[in-house]
Amino acid sequence: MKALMRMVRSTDDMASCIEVLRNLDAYLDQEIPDQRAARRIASHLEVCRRCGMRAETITELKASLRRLAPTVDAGALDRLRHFARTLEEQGNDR
Amino acid sequence: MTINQERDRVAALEQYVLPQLDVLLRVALALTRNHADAEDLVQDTMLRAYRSIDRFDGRYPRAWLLTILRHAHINRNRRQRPALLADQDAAHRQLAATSDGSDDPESLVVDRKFDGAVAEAFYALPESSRRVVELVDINGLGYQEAATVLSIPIGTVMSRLHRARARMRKQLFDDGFTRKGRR
Ligand SMILES: [Zn+2]
Repeated sequence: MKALMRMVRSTDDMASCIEVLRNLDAYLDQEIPDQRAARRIASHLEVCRRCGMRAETITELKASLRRLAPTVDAGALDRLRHFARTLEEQGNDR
Repeated sequence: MTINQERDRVAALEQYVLPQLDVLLRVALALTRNHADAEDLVQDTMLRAYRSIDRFDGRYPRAWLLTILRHAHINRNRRQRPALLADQDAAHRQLAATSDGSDDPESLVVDRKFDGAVAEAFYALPESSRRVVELVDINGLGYQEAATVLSIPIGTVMSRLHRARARMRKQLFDDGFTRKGRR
């Protein structure tokens, strides 16, 4: 257990804690385009308790924030779709 | 304009613009803080998109539309100053009101409490980072899309997001929500 809490060093297929903490937001937002870099972070999170907990917290935070999203007003969507149709009809009349 | 071109435009509007109305409306609401203004802004965006649709190459329609929306928003602001934070208090009160359901099952109460605390932490953020969180975490935009909408570099999006999340984590921790057994 104690070994798991120690800082994890970088290897070929595993990122270090510092690298992970620096890139964790981008990783959880799926904004790491480099597949190999993303895999190195993923394998780190599997073994490092500290970074793993941080990742879980951010994931829960993101999920909760997502639930804050306002419901889009159905009436507004209908009116905008109707507006699209008037655009199309006007275009066709020209 | 030939009939064929016109038909292409209509098809392009349906293919690229209509599926994005939902996200456009959300982002417009984040920018204007007002439902009527948001709807006007999206309508303006649609009109501009329709006019320039034959110059659009079909790649990344959401990014393309968000760029148009951003320009439309800037133009509108030149004409009228929006009441920026007017709806904020009302939204906050609404959130606070929904966050204590007393006769629900235990797990739900815990989640609602957590969501309420997250909402508090979110509204306590400084304006500039709150906007980034609003676009990325609440409305699901990518970093580059958020950078476009806010006219800031992508690096600024990342640093603001990082700072905002660190702040919110700290506040949640101070409120007693820890990973193991949150209050
Ligand atoms: Zn680690």
